[in-house]
Amino acid sequence: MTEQELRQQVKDAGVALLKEGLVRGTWGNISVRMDDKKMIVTPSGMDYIRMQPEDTVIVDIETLEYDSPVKPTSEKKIHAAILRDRPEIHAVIHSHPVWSSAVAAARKTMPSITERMKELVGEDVRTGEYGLPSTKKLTVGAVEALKGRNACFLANHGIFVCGKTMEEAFEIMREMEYCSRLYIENIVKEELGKDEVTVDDIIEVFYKKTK
Amino acid sequence: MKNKLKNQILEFCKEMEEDKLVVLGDTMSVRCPGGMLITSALKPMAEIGEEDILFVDKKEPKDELSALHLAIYGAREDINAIIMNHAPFCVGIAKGSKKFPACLDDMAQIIGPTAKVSPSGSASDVLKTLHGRNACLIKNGGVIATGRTLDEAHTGSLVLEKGAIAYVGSTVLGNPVKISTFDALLMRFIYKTKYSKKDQADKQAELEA
Repeated sequence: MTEQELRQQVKDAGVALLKEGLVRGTWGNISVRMDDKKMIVTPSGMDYIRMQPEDTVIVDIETLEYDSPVKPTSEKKIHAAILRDRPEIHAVIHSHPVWSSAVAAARKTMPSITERMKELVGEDVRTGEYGLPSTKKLTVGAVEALKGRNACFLANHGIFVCGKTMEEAFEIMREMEYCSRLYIENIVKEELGKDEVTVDDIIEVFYKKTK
Repeated sequence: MKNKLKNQILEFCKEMEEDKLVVLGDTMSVRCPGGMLITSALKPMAEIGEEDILFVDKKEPKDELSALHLAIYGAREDINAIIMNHAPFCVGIAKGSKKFPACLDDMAQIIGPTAKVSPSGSASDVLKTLHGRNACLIKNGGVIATGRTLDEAHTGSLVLEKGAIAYVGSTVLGNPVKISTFDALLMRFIYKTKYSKKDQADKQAELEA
């Protein structure tokens, strides 16, 4: 793929995240591998509608240097660390979808809920160690949690997924959100002996557990 | 500027309805010279047209609801937009809790270390509960989300509901982990002074252009 096509791929993935409700309120960030040394990432603090392909930033995977007036995402360290650690990976997506974020807030290891999840990400999905944004602790925690998997939660923050293609990374993000919701709803179903659950049912189990 | 504001209000009315965060009676307002523009409470947000966005003079509130919006603008110079909504998980929490903690860092940044529940919808209770925060819940009621711009109040509405889902969901999973007050306040300070400042100023400047 040419540089222009890769920039467009990042822009399109951002818009698709928004359209599918996989970013909500705040923005995630996206990277693709350009070659052995460089990645193309989303800019810092710019929404995916305003962002143009040329606003994406080429960043050195080793040094994190970039030659652009536009600042790259503040999460570039984690993207670069994942691309360094996993040579087979082409695309990395970070976001804070609602249900995945809820599991991340519980700092749990989530078992694979569906066969598709198992095929896409592995046995289970771990949560990386908690750390303030942009810290080394957060980066190291994410890379560790992602070993042998294609997704990991970031404690109290959100989720990172990676794939050999952008399409694969995107499908993993979608499946993880679906399974995270199911993971929580299955507990509610069990507690209340129901096959389907509503918001009121989830709230009922919440109050039971806070008593 | 008024036309631009009205268009923006219409856009966010549609989004709030599409995200299923509002019920009939919810309203949205934006501060403007001499008063505010506010949507009618008599129509569902999806059906609000330009004619349903009214100017209310800051000295002449039309009813209790517009008086509450004006009281918030009167007391808080930092607030330029308000969205009242009934986001379902926030409503669930507001029925039986006094506050809920930020379990996600975007809630800590944009809302604060906790979201508090006002004991009533009276202006004095709401202002007290909203102190130092961008949003609050109302006991047996809905949500008041505010911002420097309507865009920020809208983001606040989404982030607060997501924070509510994270708190409820992680409690159901048996392990809600709240962000420490120190980390939450630090992240909020950085968000307010650095990360969002230019973005919000640009958005406000576009409206004023």
